[in-house]
Amino acid sequence: MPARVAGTAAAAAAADAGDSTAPRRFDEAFLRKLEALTLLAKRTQGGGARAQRRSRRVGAGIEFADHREYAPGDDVRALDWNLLARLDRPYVRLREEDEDLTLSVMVDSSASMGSGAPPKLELAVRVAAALAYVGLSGLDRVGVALVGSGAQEVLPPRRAGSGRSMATRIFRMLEDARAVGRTDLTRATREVHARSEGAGTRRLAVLISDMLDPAGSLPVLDALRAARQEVVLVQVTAEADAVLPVDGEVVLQDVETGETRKLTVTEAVRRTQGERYEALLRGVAGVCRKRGVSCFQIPSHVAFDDAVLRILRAGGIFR
Amino acid sequence: MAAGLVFAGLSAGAVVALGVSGGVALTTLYLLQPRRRRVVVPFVGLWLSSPGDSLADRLGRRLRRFASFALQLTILGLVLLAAGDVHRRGEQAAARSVLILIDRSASMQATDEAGSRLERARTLARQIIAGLGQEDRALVATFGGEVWPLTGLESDHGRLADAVDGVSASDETGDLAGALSSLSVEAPLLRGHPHPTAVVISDFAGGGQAGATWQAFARALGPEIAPTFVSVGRRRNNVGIVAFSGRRLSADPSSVEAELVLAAQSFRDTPSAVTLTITAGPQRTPVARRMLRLEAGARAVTTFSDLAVADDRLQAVLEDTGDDLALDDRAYAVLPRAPPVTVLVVGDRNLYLEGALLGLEISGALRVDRLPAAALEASRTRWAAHDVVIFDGVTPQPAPSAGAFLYLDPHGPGNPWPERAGEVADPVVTNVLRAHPLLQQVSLSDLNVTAARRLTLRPGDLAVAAAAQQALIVARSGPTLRQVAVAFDIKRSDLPLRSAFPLFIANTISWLSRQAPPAPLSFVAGATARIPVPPERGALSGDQVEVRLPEGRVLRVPVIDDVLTVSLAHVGLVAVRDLKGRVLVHAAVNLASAAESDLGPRTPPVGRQQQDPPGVVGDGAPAPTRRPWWVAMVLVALALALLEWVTFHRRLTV
Repeated sequence: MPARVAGTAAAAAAADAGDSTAPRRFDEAFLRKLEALTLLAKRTQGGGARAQRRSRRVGAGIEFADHREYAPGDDVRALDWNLLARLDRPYVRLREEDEDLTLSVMVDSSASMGSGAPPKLELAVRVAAALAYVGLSGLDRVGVALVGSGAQEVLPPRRAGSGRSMATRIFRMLEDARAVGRTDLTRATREVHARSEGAGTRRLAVLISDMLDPAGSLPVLDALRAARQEVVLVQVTAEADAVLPVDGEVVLQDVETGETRKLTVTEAVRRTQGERYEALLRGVAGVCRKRGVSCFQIPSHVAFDDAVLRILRAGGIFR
Repeated sequence: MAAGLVFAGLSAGAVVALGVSGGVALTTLYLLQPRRRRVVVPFVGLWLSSPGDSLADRLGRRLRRFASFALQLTILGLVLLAAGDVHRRGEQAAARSVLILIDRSASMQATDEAGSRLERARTLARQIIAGLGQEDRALVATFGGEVWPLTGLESDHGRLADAVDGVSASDETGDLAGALSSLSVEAPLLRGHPHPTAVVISDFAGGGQAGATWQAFARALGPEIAPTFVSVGRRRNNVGIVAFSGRRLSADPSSVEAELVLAAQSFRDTPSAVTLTITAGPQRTPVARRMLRLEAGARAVTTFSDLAVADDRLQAVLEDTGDDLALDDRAYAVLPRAPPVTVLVVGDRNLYLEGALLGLEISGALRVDRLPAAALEASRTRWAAHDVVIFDGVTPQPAPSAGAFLYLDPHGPGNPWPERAGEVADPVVTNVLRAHPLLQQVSLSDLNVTAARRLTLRPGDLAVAAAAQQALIVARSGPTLRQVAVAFDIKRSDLPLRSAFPLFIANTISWLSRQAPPAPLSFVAGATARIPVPPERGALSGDQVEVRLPEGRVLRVPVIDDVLTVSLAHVGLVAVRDLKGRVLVHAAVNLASAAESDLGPRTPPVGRQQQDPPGVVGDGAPAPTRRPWWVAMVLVALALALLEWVTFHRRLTV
């Protein structure tokens, strides 16, 4: 009953992590949705290790997956002799290969994540909590980090049962996350990697950020890939990033750097700025495509469970 | 600044100083860069290389800002000019002192103008006031029966307009002569002010329009005051009652017979047919109705005789007139009751006579004093104090030379009808003058008389009833003396036993008393009425009584010398009650003025005349008026400010 155990642990972890007087990010409604998400995530029994995640890769697992016709080069030990006798055609038995996953979720908590309605950070921490919770419930190693100009807080990957409840620690850290500081995702991801010991057959890094990094998206993606990780990018967007609430003569001030720019806001500026923002998003998506990175661009006003389901259904994280 | 302009508000220097200061301030603000609003964004890198910073856009913005700057300078200039109340120099010299006299008389209720003639007059007066300059002063007054000043000579246009709005129509006859006389009195007040002007707004109906009045008016104003007459009224279309009165036919209070006279007149140029209805009492009970056909301009006098009218209060209404003045389509009358007749009876007790008198005495028609036969000579001093003296079986010696006397069985040396020797036994009535007032409703047929004296008649005597050549009842009438003789002792006849006897006594007393017509109880609207309050009604001199006026107001006024004095402004009925609520007397108030009912447009023979108000249009205006340019300036400034506001908020000028 791992899901139920994990669900009970999640509730307890959320209760431990939350402040009873302050507004809580992970409230009862959040937890109910989290339980539902966990049930939706299909699981398989673990292989040689303790992972319970089933893999669609055909391998040396014991769980039957499917048949396919024999092709030269296949292991003859995999031939299904009964089927050969019955159909007089060779088929091999495909088995699901068990894998041992290390999931590293990095949440951008720079000041720019505070914009939007609701703020982008709110969706980011909820999605991170959900992914971490689903991973922990699958007995994967899960680590979470808050990143900005560097690795601000890091919880190295651990399994659910290692020491004090990992879920509790993750929830507490995400509960306290605030959008402050500058953005330097390249440096931050390197620091996270340096503080996380490598283990498992598969390493997956999920970066949740608005990707408003002066250095652009390419360096950070390359840095993540250089650490031999599979990378999933969840880009949280907000309409407020590209729209100014005032007209006329304004001074724009960067919330992270304090840099200012004079600007006269007109309809033409608004129109152009919208196009520029769309181009930015397209650029991030293009870089991800080129680098083989799964990319999800999700507006901040989308419900977190819808966002998580979209990520899960697209695959690439939990196979 | 043009030489032809002057500043009536802020001085020119102040306007220039404020203009320079404001201009400098606006220019400084214009030259200063507008403070930009600070907006925090998540990533300023997104906003670099904005197209809003292109050269063309910057130039366009500067041009728009300059337009906004020019607009603000224009607004400042307009506001300062408005504060300075700038106007042409010629207008400044036009300050006037204007007397506005508005006719409020009854004819101003005519509806041939929109609303009424008075409404038209008020509109014209308001236009005159609106055309006055700030230096002009005006005095508003109205005239009807009297002149009422409504304001002092002042320049507050609002108060003047309020006074004009407060002018209401009365039912009075316009006394234009009186008004003009008053205007003449006011003229010296005007002379002390620049450009004195008098404006009379009237339909010039009513009295006091003789040429001499106008000439006197013009002389009173003097050459330096130019009167202007503004006529209202468009047509002559009216039929009205110009007189209405009535009287009781008998002194008997129980009598209901009355006689009415009404005069109606057409003030049209075409024949008219109207229905006249006369009603009585507060319930408007119809008592007579008649169709009247009136030729153009003709007057018809209609008499109603022997009408049975129980109530003393009458109303006459002309229906279907289709005219412009409803006020004179109705008139009121009160049937006056004669005061009680005082009767002195000299003679021994005569129950028959006392019975006949008692009925009249109880009804209030008589006050009877009695003296025995022995007091005949002593009663001589009291004869003059009574309306009628009855000698019952006695005959004074010498006979009275003045007064009214009824002799029953006259005889002796003082007999005004010396008797001849012998009596006529059992005379039979053969000749009766039935039409004589003594015998109204009286039948003497089969009268039984034991014996009658042979009276000698003189020339002028009238044998009202006779037995062959022998007079039984004789009437004698002279300038100061009236006498009636009954030639027999009524106790020796069956006359007292007949129902005709009290009627005969009542007729005789009524004929003898020759009652003077009762005091008139009909008054003209607008007049100060002196309403008689007979003391026998219970109100003594000095007592307070309540007077309910036709318009419903109730006044408390004292009765002085049996008369109360009250001003009656409206047509209708007046009720006078004592403080216990008992009705003492009624009175009628009528327009009763053919001159007022004649609505034909008139023009006075002197002064300037025009249909339009002075100072508004026409070259005949007494003085040019100053246009309130400052109002237009403020409105334009407001419009420009609105334009600036809209362009700013639509981001057209920023």
